[in-house]
Amino acid sequence: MRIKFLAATILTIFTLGMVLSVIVIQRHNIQEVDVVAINDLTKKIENNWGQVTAQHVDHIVSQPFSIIDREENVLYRSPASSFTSSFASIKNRDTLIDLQQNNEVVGKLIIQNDAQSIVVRMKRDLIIAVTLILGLLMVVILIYLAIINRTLVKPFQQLQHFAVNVARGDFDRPLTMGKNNYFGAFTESFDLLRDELATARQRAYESNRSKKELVATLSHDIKTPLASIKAVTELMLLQTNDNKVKKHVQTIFSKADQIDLLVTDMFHATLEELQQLKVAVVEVSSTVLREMIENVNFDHNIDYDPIPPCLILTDTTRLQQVLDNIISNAYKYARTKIKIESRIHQDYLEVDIIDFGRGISEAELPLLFNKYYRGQNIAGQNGSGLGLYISKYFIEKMHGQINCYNRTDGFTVAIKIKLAT
Amino acid sequence: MMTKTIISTEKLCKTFSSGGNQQHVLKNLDISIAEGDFTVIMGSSGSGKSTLLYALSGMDKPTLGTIDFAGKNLAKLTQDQAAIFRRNHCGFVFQQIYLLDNMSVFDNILASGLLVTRNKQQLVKKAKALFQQVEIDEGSWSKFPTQLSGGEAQRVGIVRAIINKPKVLFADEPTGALNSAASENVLNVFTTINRAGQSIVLVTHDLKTAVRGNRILYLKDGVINGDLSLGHYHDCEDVERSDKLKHFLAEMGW
Repeated sequence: MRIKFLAATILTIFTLGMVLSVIVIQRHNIQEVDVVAINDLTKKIENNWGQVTAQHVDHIVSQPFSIIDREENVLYRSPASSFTSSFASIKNRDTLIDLQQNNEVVGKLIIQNDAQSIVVRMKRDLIIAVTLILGLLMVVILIYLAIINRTLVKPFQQLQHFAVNVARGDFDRPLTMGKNNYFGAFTESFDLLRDELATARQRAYESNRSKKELVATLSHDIKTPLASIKAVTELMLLQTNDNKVKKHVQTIFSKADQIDLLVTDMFHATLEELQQLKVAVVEVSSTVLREMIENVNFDHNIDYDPIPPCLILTDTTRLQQVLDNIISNAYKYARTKIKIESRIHQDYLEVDIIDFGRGISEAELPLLFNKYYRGQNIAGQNGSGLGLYISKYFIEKMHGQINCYNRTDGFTVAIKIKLAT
Repeated sequence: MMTKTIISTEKLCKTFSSGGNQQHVLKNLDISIAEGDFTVIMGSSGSGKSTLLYALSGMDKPTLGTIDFAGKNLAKLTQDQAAIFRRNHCGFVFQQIYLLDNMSVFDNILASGLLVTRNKQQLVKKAKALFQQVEIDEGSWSKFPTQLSGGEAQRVGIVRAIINKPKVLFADEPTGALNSAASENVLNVFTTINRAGQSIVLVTHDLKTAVRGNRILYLKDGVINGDLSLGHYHDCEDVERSDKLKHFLAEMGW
């Protein structure tokens, strides 16, 4: 655990600081005044008063010293001595000893006190040591803060973004997070939650769709025998001459026609009930297209130039659905980069969605926008065959046009959106 | 004869939003205005006439689209750049004249002129010539704006607007507050300076004013619904001309 490591580091630094301080203090211990040695020195000087030389006084005391007479003339000074005046010596707390000759003071022995300078040096060394240790501590703490930021704060922020995305209904963006942080397991369960939500939603959507498809398919299927009935009754109407029979057959024909209308209505009503076909056209700035494209540009697989600014007639929700549909088709069937080109031409904003896949066969082209039609290249891809049908329905409701064609290097779906006038 | 285009717009849009509501006042306008033309913009109230005038003259920035005015894209200018551009290339006449009341008529003109040029001598000469052109006699030059009649004041306003030789003179209901005799005088001034080559863009809903223009644009719900070319104005007796205009406006649902 990193906390143990941090505690150990701080403890080590603390101990290091203590040891360093002690060493500093020990190194600068103030020398005691050696009374015996000084007495010895005083005796030697008094005995040789008047002719003190180095050999008499050397090595008796370790401190530097000077000998002066009553007029403060220096009679002798040891090599390291720095005597200036007795006043300065008193200030420096030097040891002053009277030198006597026949019970009369003839001079003074001044033993210099070096405590002051030692204390100054010690203070300096201590400051350096303390600064060093505190600095080291600071560095450790800063590093630790950075680590906390990376392992705690950042993941939390990421988690927040993730939660916002999920709340917005965007289940496609996974939560990427290293497993070696504190939240590894924690965040993994969040990601599981997202997965579950996504599949649950997909399932709900699918069950809804299968219901819708059932009704839609049924109504479509009813239409086939109905068409036969209508055809036969029409034939009978032409063949019979009996007025009574003619009247009955006429009734059958008109009722069959009525059923036909009802079934068609049902088909549309089913889809509309599921909020699938309502189109509310408004005037919006073409800048919304950029957002729409960005909304589906998950892997940055889409290249697009700036959309020419203009005011278009569209239902933004539906147009988004159309773009989603076409782009996901391109993802699904072409699996190449997608390019979107747009230009203003006459009364339309033309948007071409271009992929670089294999396209589809020319024979299938006219069928693409048919209800329930699925191309030959659908192996392994799920779908209902309704996407392009609904897209065309939407675009036409917006007074626009949708077309598609093969190019030598891919497939293009061209949408024309009406400009506001 | 090839005429040069002085202003051209491309997909000009202006949107006002208040709260969550967006109101699209101008929609995808592609307009080009020829140099030397007397263009009149008409339309019912709230159709976007004044908004269009303000956008074309750089007083207001469009929401989308471009405005090419003498080779400059007004949509890209900052406020300060637009102010400098207007000072050098645009003249303005409004229904309210906004002459400075504490300056004489002549000083009002000089003050405008000195914004652009430092040559006072030439400016005075030009101002005198213009005053003559709009028939403001010398006796009125030293008067103060409050001593002028409405028609005179508006003619002074026009002099002020064209003293710096603007590329285009923009007018928003210049005769809206005048009686018919005074408007006739003011309109004559417009016709005169247009004949001398001044490009004019004028917004009005007055027929007598509109008939002076040689091109009528009819704006409806932010879109140009009609574009009528009238040719040059000769005199007020031209019944055929005003009939043509009335017919056009009737067709537009005036």
